[in-house]
Amino acid sequence: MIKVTEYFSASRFAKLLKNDILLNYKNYLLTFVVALVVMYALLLFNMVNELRIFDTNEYLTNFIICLVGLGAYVGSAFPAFNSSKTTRTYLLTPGTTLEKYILQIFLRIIVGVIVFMFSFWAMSYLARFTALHFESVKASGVFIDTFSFSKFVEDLQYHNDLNYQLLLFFVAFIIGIFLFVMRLCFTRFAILKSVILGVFLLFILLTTLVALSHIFFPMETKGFDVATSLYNTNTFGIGNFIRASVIIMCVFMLPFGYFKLKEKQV
Amino acid sequence: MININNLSFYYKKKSALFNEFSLELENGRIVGLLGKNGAGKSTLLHLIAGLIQPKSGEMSVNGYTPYSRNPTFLSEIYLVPEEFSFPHVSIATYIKAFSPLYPAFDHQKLNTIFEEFELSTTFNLNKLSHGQRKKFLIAFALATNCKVLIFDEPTNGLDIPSKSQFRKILVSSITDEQIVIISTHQVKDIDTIIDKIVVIDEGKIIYNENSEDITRKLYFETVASLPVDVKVLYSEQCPFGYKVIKSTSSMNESSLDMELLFNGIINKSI
Repeated sequence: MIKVTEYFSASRFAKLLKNDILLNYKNYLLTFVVALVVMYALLLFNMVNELRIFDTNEYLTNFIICLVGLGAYVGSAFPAFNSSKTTRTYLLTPGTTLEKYILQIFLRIIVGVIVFMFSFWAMSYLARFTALHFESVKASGVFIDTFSFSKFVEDLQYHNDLNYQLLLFFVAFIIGIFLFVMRLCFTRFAILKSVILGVFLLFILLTTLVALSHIFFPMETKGFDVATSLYNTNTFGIGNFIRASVIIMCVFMLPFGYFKLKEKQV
Repeated sequence: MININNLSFYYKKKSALFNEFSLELENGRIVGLLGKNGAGKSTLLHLIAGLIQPKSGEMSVNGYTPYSRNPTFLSEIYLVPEEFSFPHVSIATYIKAFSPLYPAFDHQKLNTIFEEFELSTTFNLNKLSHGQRKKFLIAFALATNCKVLIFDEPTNGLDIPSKSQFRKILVSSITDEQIVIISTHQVKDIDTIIDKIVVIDEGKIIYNENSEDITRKLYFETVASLPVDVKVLYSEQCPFGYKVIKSTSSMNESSLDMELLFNGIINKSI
């Protein structure tokens, strides 16, 4: 009979969590401080240099730029795999593959996203507060709106496209999971290699769509172009494509990552 | 108890490192794993620890298949590698982080070994010399009370007093429940504590004997000139004449000269 504790034990997971935090708290703290400084500097710079109105659209642009940093944090999961010496210690640390995998999902994705959201919210207020004290901002009369996530959602709804409402979060989710899982496939320069692979896969996808456009709409398609408007998007539109990608990421990529971790050798 | 049956392993398909390799090691022993460079010693240690997967064959360490990396198995095995790196933390933090993962961890034993090795928990691991870091890792490994302790070149980087302390501490701290495997080229550093010698060459076991059986069968001595009346199994020139290995003809037993024995085995004289 299979014992559940052979796969997951809460007490062992707590010990692994404590182990990770004790060994890496300085790195986490440093990453957090750097993230705060970068967010603050970026928002303040853009607010001070804004000519008319700094509203939700501008916040959204800055938010997307900052998401790159979150992607880098997620993509640098399993830091022990940077060298064979630390990989050996990691693989021999008493814990199951599932516990080690969930721990990284927890620290890199769940905690990472929560801390990121909170940090962006706090830095938005701090940057606005600072910007409003700048003489140039006072003189130019630039309007800097207050930030809130609910305005994000409202603004997205304003586009009157239900797909667009969650599109940003779905795309961020797909990229995040991709970077997280691909970390287990590469030892050195994992983020860079993952990005190159991602761009390559996107290029293959686009090329396929271009090829299909040329096949099914030969008269309407010119050069490297996708005849998107001619596809029957009511049946399977871009929103459904994104949703399908999220499901594939969850159903295929996350278990794939688990097995990559399980098969890791030194 | 370690059981290896018909194990095959290779890094490149064309050149198998181990082919139909079998080995049995009992608990309560300190095993010296010897071999030339590239003989496969470190690979064998990694296979036993479950860091790499055998291509075929069966492996069992205290009833566990190493590569399955069962958490109980991992909490009962500790590998001290030849090369290692530590996080930028103090010894105290490292102990706090890792000791809870080993159920049999003995803090009292660790403190005793620390005193012997002149280590303090306030030291930052990455500010220590290589030798001090190795001493810390050895101390930690012994304090885990793991059933299987694996040391890959444990005396490399240790100063002369530390090598002697290592022998003393190791012998005094292990129990009959444990098995210790030491892979080393510095055979003189461990020849007084080893009670089983396994020599591997080109992926095969070419010698596998208990120390007491060796000293019962073989006689090691240094002579001014090679004896003509007795058959010498192996000899080597040394500053005072010759170091020789002979068959034991009487009840006299000599001290085991592991380096001489190893050279004799490698030269196919034993």
